[in-house]
Amino acid sequence: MNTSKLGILQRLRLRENQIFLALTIILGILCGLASVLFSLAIEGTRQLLFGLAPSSLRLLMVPTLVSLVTGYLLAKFFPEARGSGVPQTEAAFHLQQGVIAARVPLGKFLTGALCVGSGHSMGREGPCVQIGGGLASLMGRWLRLSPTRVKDLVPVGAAAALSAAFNTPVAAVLFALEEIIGDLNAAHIGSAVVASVTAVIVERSILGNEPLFHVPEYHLVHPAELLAFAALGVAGGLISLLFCKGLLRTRAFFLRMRAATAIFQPAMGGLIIGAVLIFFPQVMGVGYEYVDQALNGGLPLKMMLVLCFVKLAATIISYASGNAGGIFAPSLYLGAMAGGAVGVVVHRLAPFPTSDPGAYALVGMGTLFAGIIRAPITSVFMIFELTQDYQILVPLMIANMLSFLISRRYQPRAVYHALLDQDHVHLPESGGRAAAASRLARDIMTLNLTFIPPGSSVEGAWKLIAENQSKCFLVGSQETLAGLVTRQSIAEAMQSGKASDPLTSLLVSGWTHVHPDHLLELALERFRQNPGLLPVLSRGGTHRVEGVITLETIMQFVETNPQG
Amino acid sequence: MEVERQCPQCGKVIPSDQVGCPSCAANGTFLRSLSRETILLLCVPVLAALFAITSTAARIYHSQQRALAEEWYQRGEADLKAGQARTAIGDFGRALVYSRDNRLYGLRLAQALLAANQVEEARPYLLNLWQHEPGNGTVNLELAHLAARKGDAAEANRYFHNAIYGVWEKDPENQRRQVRVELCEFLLSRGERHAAQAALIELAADLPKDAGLYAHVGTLFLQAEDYGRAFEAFRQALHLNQRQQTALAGAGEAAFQMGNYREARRYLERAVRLNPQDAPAAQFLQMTNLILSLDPLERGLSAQTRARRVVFAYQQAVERIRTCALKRGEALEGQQPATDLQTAYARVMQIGPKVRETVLRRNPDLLMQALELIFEVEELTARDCESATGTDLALLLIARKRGGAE
Repeated sequence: MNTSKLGILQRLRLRENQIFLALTIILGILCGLASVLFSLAIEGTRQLLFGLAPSSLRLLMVPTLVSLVTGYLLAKFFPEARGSGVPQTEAAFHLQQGVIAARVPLGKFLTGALCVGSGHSMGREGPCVQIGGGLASLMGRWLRLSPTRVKDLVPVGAAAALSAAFNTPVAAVLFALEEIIGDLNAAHIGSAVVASVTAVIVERSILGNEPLFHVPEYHLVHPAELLAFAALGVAGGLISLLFCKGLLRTRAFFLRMRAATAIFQPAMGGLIIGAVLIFFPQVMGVGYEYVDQALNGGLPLKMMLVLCFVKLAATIISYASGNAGGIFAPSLYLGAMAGGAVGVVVHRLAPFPTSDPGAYALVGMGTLFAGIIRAPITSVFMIFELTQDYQILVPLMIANMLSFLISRRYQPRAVYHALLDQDHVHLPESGGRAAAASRLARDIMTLNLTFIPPGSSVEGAWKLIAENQSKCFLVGSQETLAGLVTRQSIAEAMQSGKASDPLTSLLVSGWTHVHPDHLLELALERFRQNPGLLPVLSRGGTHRVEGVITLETIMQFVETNPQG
Repeated sequence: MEVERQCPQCGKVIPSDQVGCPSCAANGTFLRSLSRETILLLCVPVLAALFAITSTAARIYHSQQRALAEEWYQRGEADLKAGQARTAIGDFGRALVYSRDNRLYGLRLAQALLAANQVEEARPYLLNLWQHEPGNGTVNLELAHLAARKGDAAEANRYFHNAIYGVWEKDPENQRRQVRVELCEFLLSRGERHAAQAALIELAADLPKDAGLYAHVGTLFLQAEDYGRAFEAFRQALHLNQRQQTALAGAGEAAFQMGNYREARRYLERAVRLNPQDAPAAQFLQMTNLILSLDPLERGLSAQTRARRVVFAYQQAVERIRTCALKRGEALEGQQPATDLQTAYARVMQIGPKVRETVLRRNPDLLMQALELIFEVEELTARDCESATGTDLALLLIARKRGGAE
């Protein structure tokens, strides 16, 4: 009876990849719920703190006083929750094996809702990325997944949370790949897609199917209009540059202040933001309602120009003073205003017929996103996903490319990475990551193979390996590998009088292998599971040995490729 | 070589002499005691509970949003009624922030923007609404107003017709009628008389019994120069309300334009009696009286009166042709006639000695010949010189009436 029960339980045991898949779906639901709750918390906080028509005094005092509270929380309990959350998630992924402490998502939720809800000019997407990544990391550890799997889950959770926060599942997946992993060819794409789609389903089932923005229809009215979009790209690049430089310099100024002031710095920012809100309440919080107005041509030229620069300054102050909130939404806000303004000017002055200014606002959103966040592919797909219109792609790509190039030319380090640099965290450049990822098992293996014939006895094998110092040996031939055997097992068999036994009785069970095109990272992980030797087998015939990886070959590789 | 082990829980390095992570040993002991499958199963009720909590929070949030939106909407309505369009724009804008997809709020915002003369800002809102409800009467009407302001007649026409055949929630018949009236006014403002007449005929075909409305339609027919239908509309209005001053004045004008001066005088006298301040009606009455007093072909005149009127008209024509020539710098006497004016003057002078009461009374053919020459002079001088006024205008109108009659 007990044996049969144990058998059933054994059959119910899930393998690691099955658990990973189940967890991916669970994370999709969890991160979707977290994002929805976070958005509701921000709006609820805003309504609670500001009411229907706040007085000037209230506008001044709410961000100041709330920032005093969040300043204390951020300094004492949740230091990792300052700022956007995207660079912290990247750092956790690349430098900490995806380990994010449990307090981080909790702290980010709490301080993010308070900061953005109290009127700071910041976005909710960055915090959602950190919350999602944090939840994923936590769940992975609770389920005792391998460190590699835990690391893999971080971008999956981030993509799920972002897709629910911004309602663009494809762009969210691309953002996770392009920004967090830094590699669009990453193996995590399948899991990220599953989680992202699940999160969007959850979000839409709760909040409804309404899109985030009412986007105008786009038609290229005249070919010369592409020049106008190019001009928008240049303007977007310059504004991106202004934003990035301004943010980094202002943050450096705050960081140079005495450490004791860290608790009060968010409140200093809050005071300035409060003063700004008295005159420009439009820059409060996420501000998507004004983005929507700009997209639909509901804002006059002067207002869009003013809001573009006031929002830029307000976001710099909010972020640099150490509050919790992102720059994802502000970059879209700036883009909508700048694009809308360019659109109105072109509409009025161009000697040829042009699209509505709303179309320019839409392209402007992608342009500033490409310039500030430096995720050009995500930006193109994000706008495409919002419009579901192929016609927008050409002007969007022109403007994005120009903005991206200008921004990168004069601010070589991407803003998220530069922010981490200021915190003395140095992420590898995506080029370096790609180079590391491009190292394959064939680069590290040796072709110098030694086989013990499978028909050998233990004694015969013992004689064969007498002059070899290796710990583990291949049994079989190059064309037909029978298995592995360790020096220790042969020695033990000899000592216990089993010299005449066939060698095959000593073969190692459960040994692993790689193929020549497997990534170095995987090869190293599998090497750890083997007793000092990892066979590299052909994909065309999985008994055919193409090489082996040993500790010596690894050391040799490290010596000859110091940057590898 | 010893491989460094890292704790998957906290990321810290696990010392080689320990199996578990000392930092995390105290934490998560409960979860550690559960199998991974059990933890996954436990996630299901936890997620269900979280889903329920989030859904409830979302419902509460949305109901609050709706209430706030309604409050701002009501404020906007009050401000718009008080003529404070700019404040209303802010109010409706906030209402839309809380209830972004409410089309009524969007429409009212667009109307407030139009009221504040922010045409360019109103347009996208209306187009957006139109995309969702292309058959909405109000939206089409506002878009028609917008196109009319821009001077885009074709687009305005299209939107006006969409509005006429569109969906109206309240009082659709009256709303459609009002749109037709607006369409007619728009066409008339652009001088598209024939299109306006066609639209007016459709409008007049289905009017309720409302004297004011008939009078307004009659006025529009007058502007469209369809005097017969204008007169009929005014007559209908007077049938419903005999003391409708606008209808009396309009009927008088319509009759005047059709040359029915006696009928015109009848209506105009009543109109002026009812409203002595009605200057146009008074002017029409004055001209009607002048025409009736000058017309030599009026029925029931004695031969002597008829001849006297022709003599007077002749003298008036001579004076008119001389004044005209003087203004044009043409010499009328002492040279061979070369221009129309000189030729006409020569003919007038030729017949001059015969144009006397006694002669004309006995010679009806001569009377008619003189009269034709007088009409010709009035037409010619009206063409070549400044517009006729006073007696000359009266003679010109008589000429046109009689010419048309012939």
